[in-house]
Amino acid sequence: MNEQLLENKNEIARRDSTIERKSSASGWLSSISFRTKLVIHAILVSALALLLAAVALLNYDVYIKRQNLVDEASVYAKIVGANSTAALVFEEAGTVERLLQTLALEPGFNAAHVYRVVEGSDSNLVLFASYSESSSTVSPVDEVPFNAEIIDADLVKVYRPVVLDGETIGVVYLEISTAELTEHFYRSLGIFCLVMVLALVFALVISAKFQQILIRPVNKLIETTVIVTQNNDFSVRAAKISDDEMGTLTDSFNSMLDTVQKHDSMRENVERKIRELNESLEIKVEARTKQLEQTNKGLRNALEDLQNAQSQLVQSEKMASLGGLVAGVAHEINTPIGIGVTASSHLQQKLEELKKQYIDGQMTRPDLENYLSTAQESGQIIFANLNRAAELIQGFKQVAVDQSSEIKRRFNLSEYIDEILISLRPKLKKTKHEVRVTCPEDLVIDSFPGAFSQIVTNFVVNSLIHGFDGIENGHINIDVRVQGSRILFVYQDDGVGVTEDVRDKIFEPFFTTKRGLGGSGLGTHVVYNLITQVLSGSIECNSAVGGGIRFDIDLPLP
Amino acid sequence: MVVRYEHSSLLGLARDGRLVTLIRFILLIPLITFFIASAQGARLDAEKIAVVKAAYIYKFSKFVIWPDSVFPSETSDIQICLVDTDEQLNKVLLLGTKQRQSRGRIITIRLIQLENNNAESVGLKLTGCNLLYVKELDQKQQSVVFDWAIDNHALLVGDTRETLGVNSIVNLAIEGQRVVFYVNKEALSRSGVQIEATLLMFAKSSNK
Repeated sequence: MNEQLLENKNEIARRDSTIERKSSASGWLSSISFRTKLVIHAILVSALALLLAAVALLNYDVYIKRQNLVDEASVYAKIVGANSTAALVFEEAGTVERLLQTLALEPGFNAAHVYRVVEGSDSNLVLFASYSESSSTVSPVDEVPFNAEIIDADLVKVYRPVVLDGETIGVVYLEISTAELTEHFYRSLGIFCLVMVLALVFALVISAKFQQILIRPVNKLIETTVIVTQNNDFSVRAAKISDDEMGTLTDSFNSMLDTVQKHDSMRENVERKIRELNESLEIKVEARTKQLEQTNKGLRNALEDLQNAQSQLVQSEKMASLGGLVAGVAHEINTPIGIGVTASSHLQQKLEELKKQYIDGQMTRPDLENYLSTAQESGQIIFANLNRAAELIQGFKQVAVDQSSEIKRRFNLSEYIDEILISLRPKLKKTKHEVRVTCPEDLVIDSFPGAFSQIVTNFVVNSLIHGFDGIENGHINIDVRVQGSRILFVYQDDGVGVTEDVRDKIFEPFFTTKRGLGGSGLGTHVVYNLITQVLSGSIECNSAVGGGIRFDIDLPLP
Repeated sequence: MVVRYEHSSLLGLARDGRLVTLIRFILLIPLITFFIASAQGARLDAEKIAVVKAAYIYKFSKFVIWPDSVFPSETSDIQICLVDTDEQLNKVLLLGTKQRQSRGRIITIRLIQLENNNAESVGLKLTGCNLLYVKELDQKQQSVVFDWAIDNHALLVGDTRETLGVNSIVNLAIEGQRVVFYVNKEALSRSGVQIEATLLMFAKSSNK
């Protein structure tokens, strides 16, 4: 914390030095005192204000004077025009000339001309009467406008039409010198300069007096800041001299010192607390770290246990499947074995009877022949049933071996599916459901038969438990086709189907809709793992409630 | 006068007196030409004067202010009546004032011939006239017309020495090479007709 404060102070000092360098580079203005700056400011503001006001007033005055000249010339032109109508009509030029000479007595008049419109053409003018003070030239008649005002540097020129009965009969031209205007301008300029000098002197005196009053509280503030900075003593307060903005500034400065003092003591307290907190925090962090490590260890163990449990469960599922298979085998074999036992016991009974007859000496030829016939029949029955049992055991053995091992071998897929279905016959036999298999008979693949066995068994068992729940005559279709280098394996039933929500989770481990009713929730998960990992294929489930379920399995042709 | 000629043919003419006749004829040509030209010039001056006078009469109407009562309505014409004047002036005024207006009123030219000196008869003939131009009337007729003009607020313009300052309000005259006009201010005042100051500035006064 202290290091950070120190760094901030250094940064502020660097900025201040940069500002100072820039200021010194900007010129002498930065080096002069605030007092002098105030005086210069007052003088400059006063001078600028006076200059602006004078320029505006002079301009306005000149504009008004010039406009007055134009108006004056315009009025005279109209008067001359009004008094010249009859003379123009009766072509009495002498009368107009006398009029113009009278006008020339007015100061500033330079020249005056009256033009007459020649009857029949408005634009055809002739000079009718003229008066000229000095070197003024008469404009060519074709350049004379009927109504115009021209303001030159030295002259104001006005053209006004002479109208009689709505008809322009002539044009009066008057020329007034602006010399008087120029003279007036310079006179005003002189007065302004004098006023400006007096005003500036006055401003200088006033500002010199004022700056003393203004600067005194500032000086007091500076003194206080120097003491605070040098002694690092925030208990010092600046003396309040006036009740104006500077007084408010002093109050604010003192208030700021109060705040700084409070903050300083608070900062010290906070720093102490932070130090203590840091120390206790380090201890806490260490303890928490140990706890976390222990927790992590426990979690890792739990995860391992979970993975083991999952693996065991999957294995259990396989074993459960195998157990089912064994139960099926036992059930299926029971019949031929039973028949065999019955036949053999019957044969044994017949043999005992014959043996007794022989011992008693009562055995007749027909008895022997009868026995031989019975023995032959029984032997045939026993042989046939034992053979049947042997066949079943052979088939079950293969499926069971495949299910319990993960050995890769070549096998005919069609025949193998049949063997799987035989192993499932004990379950299917109890129902009226039908299984139909469509598979190329010559399809021999080099793959993992145990995986196929698990897949088909799980699908069929799921259909029986879930799909045909409440359905008596269900149908299962297993359709296998070869497309190029792929095997398309489709399993489909027309059972109750599943909802969209169930369909989305159907391959998740431990997901079951029959929890507590014997479902482990691992059947379809095992199927998914076998297809994707063992057989390197993909599986997709499509189903709708009431529309059965369909699994599309895409496998590479091994 | 004896003229000696060297040429034989001229000597022949001189002998039989035909040369003298020829010389006399040659001398007569410029004289005849002068007389013809003088006659023609006199005719041209008369035409010019008629035109100038006609223009004056028309232009007077632009600077005369009649009492409102003399016009029946705001759109009534200004009637310029030419009483027994010469045909040339009549023609010029009739042509020159066609479609013209003065003070917002259409100019109408009326040609009037007075048959007697009866004031009532003259008054009937002059009814509606605002500006009268009279020239060759006898003294009695002139007096009757003058009285009527004074009574009826009409501007009477005369054109003879006899009417100057007596029986006219405005009188035209030729002085030097220019047409000038005199104003009888007393009669003007009595008539109630006003002439604008701009016109009076160069008018001559006929009052003693």
